[in-house]
Amino acid sequence: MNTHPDQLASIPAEFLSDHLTPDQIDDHLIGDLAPTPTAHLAACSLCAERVALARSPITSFQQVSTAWTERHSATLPIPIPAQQAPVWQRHMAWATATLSMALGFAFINATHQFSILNTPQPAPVSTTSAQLTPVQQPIVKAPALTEAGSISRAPRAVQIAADNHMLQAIDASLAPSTDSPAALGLQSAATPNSGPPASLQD
Amino acid sequence: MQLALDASIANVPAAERTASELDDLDTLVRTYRPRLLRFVAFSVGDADLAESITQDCFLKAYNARDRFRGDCSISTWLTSIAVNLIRDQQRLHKFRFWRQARATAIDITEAANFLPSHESSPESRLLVKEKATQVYAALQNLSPNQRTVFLMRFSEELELSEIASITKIPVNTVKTHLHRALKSVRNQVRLAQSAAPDDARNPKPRRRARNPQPPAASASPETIPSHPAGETL
Repeated sequence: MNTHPDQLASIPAEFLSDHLTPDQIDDHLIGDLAPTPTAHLAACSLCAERVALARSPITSFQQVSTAWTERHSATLPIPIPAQQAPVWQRHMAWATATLSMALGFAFINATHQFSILNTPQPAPVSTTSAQLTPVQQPIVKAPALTEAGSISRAPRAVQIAADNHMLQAIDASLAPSTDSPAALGLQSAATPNSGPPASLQD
Repeated sequence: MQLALDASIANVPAAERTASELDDLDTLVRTYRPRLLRFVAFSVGDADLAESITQDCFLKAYNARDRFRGDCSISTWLTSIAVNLIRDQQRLHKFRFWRQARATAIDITEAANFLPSHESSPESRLLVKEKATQVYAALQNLSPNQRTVFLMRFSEELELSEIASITKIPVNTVKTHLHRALKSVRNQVRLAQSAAPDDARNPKPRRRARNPQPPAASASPETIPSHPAGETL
């Protein structure tokens, strides 16, 4: 509501001599003062001082409230703008990472192969024993396991026939007709339970 | 940070903004939050409640950004949303914090310590602190509508037409509320300065001192009896 200097010339002088009333001071603070009192305020230092005195508490409150707001707004995190790298740098970074991973896997694989080639080879054994026995085990046990393996693979009827043949041979060798004392001619010469010896009879 | 506050509090242009600004919520908050927080905080008198209302205000504004017609500034639009949220709080009787507990009430004397020290002398800063405390104590005795209109005009420096647009009341009614609020604040400040000059050096907010009458001895010729502060819009 500032009055233009040209408007001051058109205002009668008697209006300029009247000081502002409290209501007019409030109107000025609110921003609704008429042009005539505004013209007087522009020319009257006393009214200007009264207006400044009336505005002083409000201005102080505005300053303090602003300080309070600034203090509370200081807790708001400040965003740090992320620096975006150029596209070619990002592509180079991805390519470098992929190449590094590939070289790492290749190195690990080569190290593994080299360790296998440098390991001392065990004595050549049959395929069956190599599959069944670990490398550190003594090779002495291998034949037994080999026989067991062959037995397990032999036909059952042949094995039974061999067993029967062996049993028949044993029976034949233990037959009483060939090994008994009577068969050997010893039964008639000695009669063990016939009586005491002749020397004891006397 | 200081630059952002200066830009947001003091230099927010009143020109019309495009609705596309509402799409960037982060920029919206950083631009208008300090100003809105100040208005809400000194309207409700509670710092935590003001933070919550301010956050709700931005959330509602972002969700309803399609309905922003652009016939007013974004600051005015956000303030109108905040006024509605404050009224909702009043309607739901959630002002117990304001009236009773006030566990996180604004300490205006503490806030005065954050005044910039390079601009004035310690004596003038103390004077500013005393006057601000007296005005803040007087604001607590105003009706909610008077306090809202007073803060819009003298703290946020909004024009009468903007206040009328935000509060959806006629301009003449806004003027009436401003006159009554201004006289009530001025009388209570004068009462505080004259009644307890010793306490004025270390003032404390007065609680619920409705319709204070200035002493006759200290009443100046321009003193006007205070109007009742309990009227509604």
